[in-house]
Amino acid sequence: MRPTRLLDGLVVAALAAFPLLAPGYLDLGTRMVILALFAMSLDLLVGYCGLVTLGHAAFFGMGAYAAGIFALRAWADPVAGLVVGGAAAALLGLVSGAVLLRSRRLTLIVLSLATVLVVQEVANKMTWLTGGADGLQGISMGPVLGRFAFDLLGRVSYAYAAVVLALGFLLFRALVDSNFGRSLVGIRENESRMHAIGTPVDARLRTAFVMSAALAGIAGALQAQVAEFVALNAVSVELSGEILIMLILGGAGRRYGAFLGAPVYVFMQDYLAREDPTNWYLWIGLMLLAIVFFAPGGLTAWLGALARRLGATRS
Amino acid sequence: MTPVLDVRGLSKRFGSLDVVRDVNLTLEAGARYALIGPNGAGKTTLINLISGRLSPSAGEIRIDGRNVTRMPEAGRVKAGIGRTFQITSLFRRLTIEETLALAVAEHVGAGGRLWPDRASRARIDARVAEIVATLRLGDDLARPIEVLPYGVQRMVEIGTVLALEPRLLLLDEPAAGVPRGDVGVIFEAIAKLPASMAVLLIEHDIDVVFRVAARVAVLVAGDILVEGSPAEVSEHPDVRALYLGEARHG
Amino acid sequence: MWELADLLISLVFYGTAYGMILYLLAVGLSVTLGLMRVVNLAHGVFAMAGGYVTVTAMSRFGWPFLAAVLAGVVVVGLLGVALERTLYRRLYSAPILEQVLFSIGLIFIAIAAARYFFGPLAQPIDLPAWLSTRLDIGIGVFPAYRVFLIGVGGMVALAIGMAIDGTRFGASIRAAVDNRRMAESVGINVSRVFTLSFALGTALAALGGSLGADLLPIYPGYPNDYLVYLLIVVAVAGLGNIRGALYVALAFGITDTTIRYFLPDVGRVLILLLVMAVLFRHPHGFAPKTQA
Repeated sequence: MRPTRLLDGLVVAALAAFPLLAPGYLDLGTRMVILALFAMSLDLLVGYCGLVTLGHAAFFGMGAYAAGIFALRAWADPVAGLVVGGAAAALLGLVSGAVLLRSRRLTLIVLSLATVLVVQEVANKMTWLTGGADGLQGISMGPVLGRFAFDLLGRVSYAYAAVVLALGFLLFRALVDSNFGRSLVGIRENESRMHAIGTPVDARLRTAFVMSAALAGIAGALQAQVAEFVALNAVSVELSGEILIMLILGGAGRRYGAFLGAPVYVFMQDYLAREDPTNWYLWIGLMLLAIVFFAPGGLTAWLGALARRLGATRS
Repeated sequence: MTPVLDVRGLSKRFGSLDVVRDVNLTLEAGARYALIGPNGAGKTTLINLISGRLSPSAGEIRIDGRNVTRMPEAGRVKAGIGRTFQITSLFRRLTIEETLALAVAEHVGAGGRLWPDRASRARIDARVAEIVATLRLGDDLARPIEVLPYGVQRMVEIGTVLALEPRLLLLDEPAAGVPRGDVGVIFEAIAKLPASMAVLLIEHDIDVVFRVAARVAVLVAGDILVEGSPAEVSEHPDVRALYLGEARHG
Repeated sequence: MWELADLLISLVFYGTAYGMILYLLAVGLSVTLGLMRVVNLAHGVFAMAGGYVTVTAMSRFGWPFLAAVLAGVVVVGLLGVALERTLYRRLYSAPILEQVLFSIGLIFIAIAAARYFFGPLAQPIDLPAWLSTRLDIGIGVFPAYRVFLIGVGGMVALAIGMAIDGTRFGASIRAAVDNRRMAESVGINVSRVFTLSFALGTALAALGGSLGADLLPIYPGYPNDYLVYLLIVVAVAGLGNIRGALYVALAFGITDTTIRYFLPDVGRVLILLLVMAVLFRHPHGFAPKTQA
């Protein structure tokens, strides 16, 4: 997408405008923001590196539990919790990346599934630390930066999450535009060729993997903090699948996919799934098939094509 | 003077099949060396061994005196080897400029930089423009490579490897698949290569070999049969038998 | 001392029965993955469908067990043909992301259909009397049902082995897995081979789903629950490695049963870590390398 400055500005504007446009839906908005950050972290891996995994919730959950346990037992400062969550997830990313990145395609998917299942099982069994199947409860967060206490209306939660997302986006954008980011695209397009131009492919992928994990961990930490609770399904294959769907809905590898996909999906889920869980599965399934066969670039590609056509008719 | 490429006793065995047997090869700076031979003789395998795509069963490879036998492919590129592929292997959806920029960035060591750096970008773009001008690729810079004619794609292959400023350039049938009319451009590019670069070229076409190479080696069943100047090699009775034999049996 | 021997025999026996079902479920997936190179995560859907057809045939139409299983196999085989010709065939050269998303979409639709027609609970299956008894097979007395599973699994493995090695169709599958382009150039109708192999794969999955319905209950969550184990078997054996799939499935079944018996708390984690270690060492599984 060419006019990126404009679109970047639009994203930030949308984030800022939301509470003014829909003041009664701040909880929903916060959820959209957190999942957008999570989806963005996955975009780095799936969209830019071309590595398809189904285990990304391992990092989200790791961040959530680390931040939650940190707040519960050490210090309930939100920003510190973000750092702890991100660091824990990054560490997990370092270890699992060393194992996962030796493979591609099916084996990579299997290893990613194994990773998320192992983390889930550990969280499930270590009840004394994580609350087990009941989840981590009793978290009580202190005020953000010592000044902004979380309020019942959810205003501080939204603002906090939105700021973190905006900062995360700036980081993501810089990464994607850098030489590093371009080399990831090269690896995605033709990994073999990248070896032949002297790229240390493994090192690049491992770096990207750790960064992706850290961002997912920060999203998880946010979730734990605003909900003051960590559910066991923060580490699940289902959540990994859902976030992949959100990303694809928006469009992977296209910069803004997470920002389109997460809110649209959350909105659909809130509106449709409430009625009838069976139909929800049907609609999502059909939507996925439609995307695969008719619009593989997701909403971003579709909107881009629409914009081009409108621009063409005008001139 | 240390040779640019020094290959000793290089062998590669797949199972019970010896694809490359005990090959010795030396290239000085500025060499223009052609490797010819029937299909299946092991030419591409030899290139793969030298470039690092395959690891040898035995033997040693040295670049400028440095032993690179155990080095992975990317490391050998840093040591000064560049290669093109027989079947074009590029980034289909990227543009010519994006492709060349990737190679230049890696070469100057900025490939992994995490923050956008305007000065570095400007230098990379300038070098890309140079290569584009040298290879006369100026026409289709904004379009993805996959829609460009094959001849142009081959040129981009060459441009990608030139961006690496290698000491040793391995060209695997550079004119393969290129329409007759475009072949001349490719050989112009090869003629314009820096004089200090050592070039090893795999080729089938004897005329091409005569145009480009100063020395020729004939590889048959993994073994170097004959080595010498193009004239010497084409006069050699074994080579004549090989090619005449092929001509007779078709 | 004898108790220990009895225990080990039991573990091996039950593990083998479980492994046989995994084999039946996974072998079709190994062929399609190895042959068509489509990452089909929805394979469990076909097993589940077979189970539902069998249960319906038995409870609604009063069919005997074996006939109902056969019905499941046939119906799902036909379903496989239909889906391959219409949808799967378009994905052979698609990027892996699209293949994964398609599979997920198919799973979701199947879950919705299962929920709608059968409800969210597990389908009870009435095993015939001759399977509900206990058999003395020399080394111990075990449920006839499990003996039957092992027997059928073994026979299927043998039949597949003979078909792959002995028939022309088997040869064409092997050729197409090894080197598709070469196979086409010697006149093998690769497109037909794909359709038939896919149908066989889904039919085998249905067989595994139906026969194993008492062990792995048929309910809408079926494709999700067992997906990871199927994928493990296929990945560890290596794509297209049919013989290997049997060994890996049995090894997995026995190891899983044993570890869970002795270390119930950490068993699941241990087996997953074990699998990760194996795949770390052999990212392509144990199959011999194939060409594009």
